[in-house]
Amino acid sequence: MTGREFLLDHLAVPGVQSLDGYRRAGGFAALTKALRSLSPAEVRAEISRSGLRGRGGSCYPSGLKVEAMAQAADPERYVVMNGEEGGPGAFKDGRLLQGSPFLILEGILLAGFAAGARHGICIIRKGAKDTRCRFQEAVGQMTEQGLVGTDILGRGFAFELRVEIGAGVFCCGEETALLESAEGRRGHPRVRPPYPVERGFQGHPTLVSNVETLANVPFIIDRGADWFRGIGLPAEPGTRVLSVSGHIRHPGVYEVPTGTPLRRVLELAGGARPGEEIVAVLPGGAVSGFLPARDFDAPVSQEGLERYGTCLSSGAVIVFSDRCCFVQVAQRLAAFFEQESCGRCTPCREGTARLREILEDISGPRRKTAGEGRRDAWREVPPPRPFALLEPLVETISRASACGLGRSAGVAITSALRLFPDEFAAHFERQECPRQVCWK
Amino acid sequence: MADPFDVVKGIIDRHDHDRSRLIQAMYEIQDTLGYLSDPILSMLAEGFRMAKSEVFGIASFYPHFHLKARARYTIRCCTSVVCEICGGAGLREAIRRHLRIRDGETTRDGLFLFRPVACLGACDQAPAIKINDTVFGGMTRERIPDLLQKVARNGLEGESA
Ligand SMILES: Cc1cc2nc3c(=O)[nH]c(=O)nc-3n(C[C@H](O)[C@H](O)[C@H](O)COP(=O)(O)O)c2cc1C
Ligand code: SF4
Ligand code: FES
Repeated sequence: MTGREFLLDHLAVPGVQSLDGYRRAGGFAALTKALRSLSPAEVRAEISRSGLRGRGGSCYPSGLKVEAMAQAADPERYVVMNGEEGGPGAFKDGRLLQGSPFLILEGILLAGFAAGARHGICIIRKGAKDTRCRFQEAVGQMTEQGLVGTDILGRGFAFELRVEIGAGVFCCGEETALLESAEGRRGHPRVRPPYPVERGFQGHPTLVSNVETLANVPFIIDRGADWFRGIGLPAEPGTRVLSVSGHIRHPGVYEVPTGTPLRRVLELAGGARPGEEIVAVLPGGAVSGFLPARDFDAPVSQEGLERYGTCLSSGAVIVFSDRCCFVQVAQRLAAFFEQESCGRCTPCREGTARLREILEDISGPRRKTAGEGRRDAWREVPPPRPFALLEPLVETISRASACGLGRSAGVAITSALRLFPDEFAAHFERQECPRQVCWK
Repeated sequence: MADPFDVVKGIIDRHDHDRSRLIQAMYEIQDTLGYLSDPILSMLAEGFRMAKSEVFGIASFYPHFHLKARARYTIRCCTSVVCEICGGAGLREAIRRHLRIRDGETTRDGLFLFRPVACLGACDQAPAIKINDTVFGGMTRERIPDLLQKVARNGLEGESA
């Protein structure tokens, strides 16, 4: 195992970013095959049979989504590529978009063909300006070559594509918030159901898909569902592209078949940095729970990680060594949710702010004499609020929030409380940081 | 340069007064003119036939819109967890010290605006900062003064991440 399977192998082909290079690497074979010899129903069946599941976090079977689209009565349908990717530690979609834009575009075309959609919208986060320009160029080239337009490859399939600027906010990664934002409104999530496959972009059936999910589609159509099913676990076939970051020797993007133990992924990424020891990881970024070192045999898969009380989500593996203070980490996570909350539900908007404050009282700059809060050092520092407030607060936020952001805001913090009770106790009771990190 | 109001009008026309294109139009205007001034918000409201309060609501919701004239270089420093455990706080302190400003402030010469922000999507290069559209990864606090001086003197051209 090298940390590279078919997706990253494809990205490593020289020149694959250009249209000619992509063709030379076997690009558009799947599209040609689908348009020449398959019906949309056959393409749908192939996607369903492959067992492909969404890579954006929900892990929902993609086949079911495409089938639901095809059932819709409304003939005006959309495919939306979700390239918003905004959580800390998540950068694999960006790497795929940069590495092989035509692969993703081919995936969108195939999804559109299967779902009977005629419109594709690529939403790419605001921060990734180069990628967005590159995509615009790529769509232009495809239009010139008759790969996008009214009569694609002379087979009478019509599809138009446009590239839009995403909001660059985490909560707009949620599919309904993404659609709200694409329609020119504030990115507040909608109430589901109806799901986007019934009523999505401007009320029309819409297939919202993650970048990595779409990248898998051309391979599945080209090489067949049986080939795909042969990789990884039977329940969740295929590979997962993981963004590995934090206290690790070689941060970066790694691809492994599902079911690979997490320990192996950490080894591929070079293991702990010199003089450090890895204590825990967040296998799915900010929305997942901590996985302690003793559980590193857990497999890379949604179900497998759920058994360990965490989740894979979009595969943002953040590594923490013994140099971290987990109270400070929890505080930064709370701050992230506070910053990115869209502000619609009071428990999420206010609760995440209180959460951050409680943790900041004991770990933040206000308690220090040097560093960030120096300007305020002379001020009276209020006594920290009691530890006992934390759990009910997290519980309230997760129960009373409307979307996945609020619901997952407390997951990592709860698991940190469970895994490192001594560390939290030291901060709350004795106001000291055992690892001497957040008091410096 | 063309009259800013013609620019705005042109962009609104190009988007066909279609409400769903509002945000894209706002990004285009900001890219050309630098920020969305109050008169521009009024023009947008009129052009897209909506209440100005609604336009303002959208402009203030998304963190990438600037409602005031902005500095030549916006420094965004990531405060999310990966950069934080790799020493992000030190970077911010170094930037504050070097520029003698606080979070969210602009230097008096209008050159730098400093904003602590959430994840920049460059976590594999943590700790990361971004100056306008260029990411500088693997930063150390010692390199901050040099980098900012260089940018102030020569701009961002020729700099690579
Ligand atoms: C708060 C929140 C943020 C999300 N961010 C993203 C994201 O950045 N990218 C993404 O593809 N999906 C994201 N999702 C998941 C989407 O709602 C949706 O499930 C996904 O785009 C569906 O695509 P898939 O079936 O290919 O996974 C997010 C969900 C929530 C609740
Ligand atoms: S849970 Fe938070 S992010 Fe989600 S809709 Fe409510 S306020 Fe917005
Ligand atoms: S956490 Fe800093 S760039 Fe992602």
